[in-house]
Amino acid sequence: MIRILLRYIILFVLTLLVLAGLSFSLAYLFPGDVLANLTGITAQNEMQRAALAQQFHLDSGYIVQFYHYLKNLLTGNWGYSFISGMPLSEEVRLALPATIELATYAMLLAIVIGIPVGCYAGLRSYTAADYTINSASMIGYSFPVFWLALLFILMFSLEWNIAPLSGRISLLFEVPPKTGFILIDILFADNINRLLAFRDALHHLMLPTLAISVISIASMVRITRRSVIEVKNKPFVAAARTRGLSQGQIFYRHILRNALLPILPLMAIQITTLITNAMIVETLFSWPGIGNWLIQAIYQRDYPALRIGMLAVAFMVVTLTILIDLFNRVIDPSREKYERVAV
Amino acid sequence: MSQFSLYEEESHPTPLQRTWREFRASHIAFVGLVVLAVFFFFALFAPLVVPYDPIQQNLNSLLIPPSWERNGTIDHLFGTDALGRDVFSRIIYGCRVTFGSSLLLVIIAMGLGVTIGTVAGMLSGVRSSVVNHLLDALMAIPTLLIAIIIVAVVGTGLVNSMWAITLALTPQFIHYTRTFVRSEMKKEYVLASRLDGANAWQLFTHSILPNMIEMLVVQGTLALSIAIIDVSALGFLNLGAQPPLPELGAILADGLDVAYLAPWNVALPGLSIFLMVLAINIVGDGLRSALRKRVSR
Repeated sequence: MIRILLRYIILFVLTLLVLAGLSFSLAYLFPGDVLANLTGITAQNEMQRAALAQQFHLDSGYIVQFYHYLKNLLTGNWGYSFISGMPLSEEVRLALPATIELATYAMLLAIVIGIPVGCYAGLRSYTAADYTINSASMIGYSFPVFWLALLFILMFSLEWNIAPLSGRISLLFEVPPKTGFILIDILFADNINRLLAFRDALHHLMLPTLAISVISIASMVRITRRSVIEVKNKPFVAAARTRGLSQGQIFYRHILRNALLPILPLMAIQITTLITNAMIVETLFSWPGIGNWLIQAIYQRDYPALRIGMLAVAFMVVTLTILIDLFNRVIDPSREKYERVAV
Repeated sequence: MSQFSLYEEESHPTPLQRTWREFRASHIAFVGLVVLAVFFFFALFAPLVVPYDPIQQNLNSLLIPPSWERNGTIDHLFGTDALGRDVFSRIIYGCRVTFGSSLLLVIIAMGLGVTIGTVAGMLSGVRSSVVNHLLDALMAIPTLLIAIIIVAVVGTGLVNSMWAITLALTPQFIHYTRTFVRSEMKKEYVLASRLDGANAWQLFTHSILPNMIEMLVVQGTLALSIAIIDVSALGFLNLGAQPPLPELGAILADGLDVAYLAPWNVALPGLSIFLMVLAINIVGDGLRSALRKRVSR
């Protein structure tokens, strides 16, 4: 166990080092001044420039520079945005939770809806109900997320007017960003009607979450269905049936447990898709998340923001993936090396 | 099977024929294949199909609704956009750009992935472990992020976005090839060829590759659907194909300005992306279940 843990920690640290190295090299790869890309401050005169170069050890070799870059990253000194002039650590701290919030709710929806429906389809495999669910999931899986979000906007916001078009919460409510998660922030906020604010925030959440989760639910249904069908035909299920167990007992004790195991590593792959979809949907709903922030940064050529934003998103995704892999390894020791299977 | 059977045919279908039979037995999969073939035809022969030049602007016919609406004309089957360009022609050309570039990049990614994956699969020990772990890290980084970085470094454009998506798709090909080659290397028929004195290259081309092609085709269809969605998403975000080039995502983004006035400018390009992806997914799914049935019988 400790060996596995150690291996995962080494893997994690190495991956992060590679990512940090990548983000460091971006300062050189991006067009423009290296120093400006690294700090986000355009030096006004030679003196300031020399001082900054001194601070970032630009005159030393790349290795020394990278070492100091790492030190700056760890101490939270991430540089400043070209456009807003704000410290990047502050901007990421506000933007990242918004994305995580959106993705989490979408994932929760996918688990809550996708797994039971997938189990049902798997148990009734090759019947009319199964074909219906399977076709529906195939259709949901094929939607380009930006088009789906646009359709939702056209239908729900413009035609029927039942959901707001953009943002996280009505401007009437003043919610100070404490944790960055809007639903939690509302609980901490003073001087507002929490119930109304909560309802308003949920209204704002509805469309973007739905747009992302349609695709996640569809792939979750497909994964679960496949897994259940595979487990259903295993000899131990037949053995359980001959022992006279009821359908419910067989399902809950034997099929469900074994079917859920291979789903977990597949969820790790889903996270990448989920975050990508969340980032695209954010731009459509003006959701103040990291995806919207990054895409604004690329439109305005805000290189320091891109450098840090890339690191932040990659860090988040890699951490989640490795944690899920580790968790999977812990609960399923029979798996020497996890296998990744297609959706 | 009995030795003397008067009624059964003596010819044995090849694995490919058996897969085709299983595939054809599923009507949905066959319809998907036909739809895909139509898109492929559009991609190949777009200049012969379209009635108008896709970038020809016509100020006399702005925002004409599609032909099935009351104000529409049959001259413009899908209507026109805000610059008077024929939407039908643009979509056909869009299929060509989106589908063609996706197909191309999937083939490149497959070639790269199979090469690296085979080398990694035949290696063992520390080197393969390093490759494995680096790949897992690469697989985790979202395509959009890679695309944003590449766009920031070298600028926007269809080719640049294609590189980004190729880079994002390659690791999964490497992964599957690696796993496949590794499991295959342990089998006895490979050992037999080895005892016959086959070198690594001969082993690969004569023993492993023929067995791998089916897996590659299935993975390729999956990757193709992802590639189409990604190409059009980047085009939509204005990070990929640039406006005059008719790319489905870019057409959709163009139509966004007049979405309320002329919803067909948003609905139709999106619908064609959706149909294309759906057809590919159906064909991929049909292929997979056909292979599964063939193996289990």
